[in-house]
Amino acid sequence: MKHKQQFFVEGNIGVGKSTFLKIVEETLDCQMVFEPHEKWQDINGAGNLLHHFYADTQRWAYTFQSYAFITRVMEQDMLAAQRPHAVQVVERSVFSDRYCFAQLATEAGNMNKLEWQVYQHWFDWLVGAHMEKPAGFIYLRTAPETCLKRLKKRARSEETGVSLEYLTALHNKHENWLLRGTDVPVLVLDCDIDFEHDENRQAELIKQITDAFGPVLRTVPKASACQFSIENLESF
Amino acid sequence: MPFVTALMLFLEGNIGAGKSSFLQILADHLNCKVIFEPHHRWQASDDSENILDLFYKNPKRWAYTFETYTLLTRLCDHQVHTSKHDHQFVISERSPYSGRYCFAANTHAQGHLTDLEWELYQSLCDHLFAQHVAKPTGMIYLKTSPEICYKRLNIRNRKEESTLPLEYLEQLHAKHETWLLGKQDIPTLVLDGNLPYLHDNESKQHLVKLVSDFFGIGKLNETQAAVFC
Repeated sequence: MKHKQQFFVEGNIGVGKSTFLKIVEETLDCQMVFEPHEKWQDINGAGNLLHHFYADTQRWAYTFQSYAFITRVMEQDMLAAQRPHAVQVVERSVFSDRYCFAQLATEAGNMNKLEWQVYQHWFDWLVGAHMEKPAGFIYLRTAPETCLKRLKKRARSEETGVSLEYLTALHNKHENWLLRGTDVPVLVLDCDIDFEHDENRQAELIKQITDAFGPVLRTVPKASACQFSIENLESF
Repeated sequence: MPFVTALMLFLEGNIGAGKSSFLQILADHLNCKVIFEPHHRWQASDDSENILDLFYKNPKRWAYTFETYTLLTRLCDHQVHTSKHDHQFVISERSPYSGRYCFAANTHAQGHLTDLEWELYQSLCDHLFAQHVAKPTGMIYLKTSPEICYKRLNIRNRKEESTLPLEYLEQLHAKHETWLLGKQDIPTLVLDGNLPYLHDNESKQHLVKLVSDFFGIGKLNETQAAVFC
């Protein structure tokens, strides 16, 4: 198995992950791996797994949770094959699937004991066979109340049912796992302060990342690319 | 990543085709490692719930969980056994392939796996087979008529097989035939499984010779040794 350097961006629903990832994509020298949503929505024309999951969670939780994390690994593998030496920044991970979402689904009674066991069996095998130890987690940390406010503002249809109670439960899972339950380096970014419309705040967050995980993760060397073209011009 | 393995054979055949007796003969006469079908894992569970039971009682609800779990256990076993080279060759009782092309395909044909679940299952197979299943050197198809399989099941009287109808064996038989005798690119030795179980030494030797000759097992000794020194 080839050596992959992977950083995973984690955080609650509504924290502003998409906006954050866009900023990372523009400023850092890395390969982005987004959640493979389309792989969950169109299953070769046979239906939409995400719809089934939302419509009858108890019936489809195991199917969705197990398929979701396997497709994450597929996506990372597929992109890594295209750029074998790139550092990957990945939107969520098999780890947050396991330690936050699937665990919560089990506690809520949406996966029974047997399904949880089978799920964990898959997880152990797949992580053992496919995954390197992560280089780091970037934890976008917010109060659940902030997430709820942002969710209401963006009003995506599939998120209308998300309650403060659920966000709080997810928040606690993230806290337990990332602040106490892992030996991978975790960079905690305070995302209660709005960063979506504040370029200075965005620059601060990026600097915190490069301070913590540089030189593996570094900003795109834009200046040198510019210089190169000027030199070329001068030689004419 | 596909593994390099000494020599890998898959033994395929219906329930009651005579696989266990056949495996015993090969194990006695050839230096091979046998991977038995991980049946015990589908029945044993840490608590009272048993996935095989659930599947039989309510196949529509549990087919996907059952089929993905059997897939996982087969993949696990293959990975463990094909990464060790302490035998001249490895023979596997069934395989992730027959799990897919015979059993899961039949579960789908019966309507227990929905089209969506079948697509999910197949997309997992496509990805995982490419990385975790070593292409076998060959396959042995123990071809036995469903009626004879059915008779044998009634004689041996294993608890979980006692209620299997002849119709189910016929469906599985058809899946085996389509897959193994149809368009596929793995050398396959077809053996008649309708004959009564072999007891005399001479017939056993004959059977072993058929297998050795077909797959060139005797001749492989020297080259294999060179590769794995």
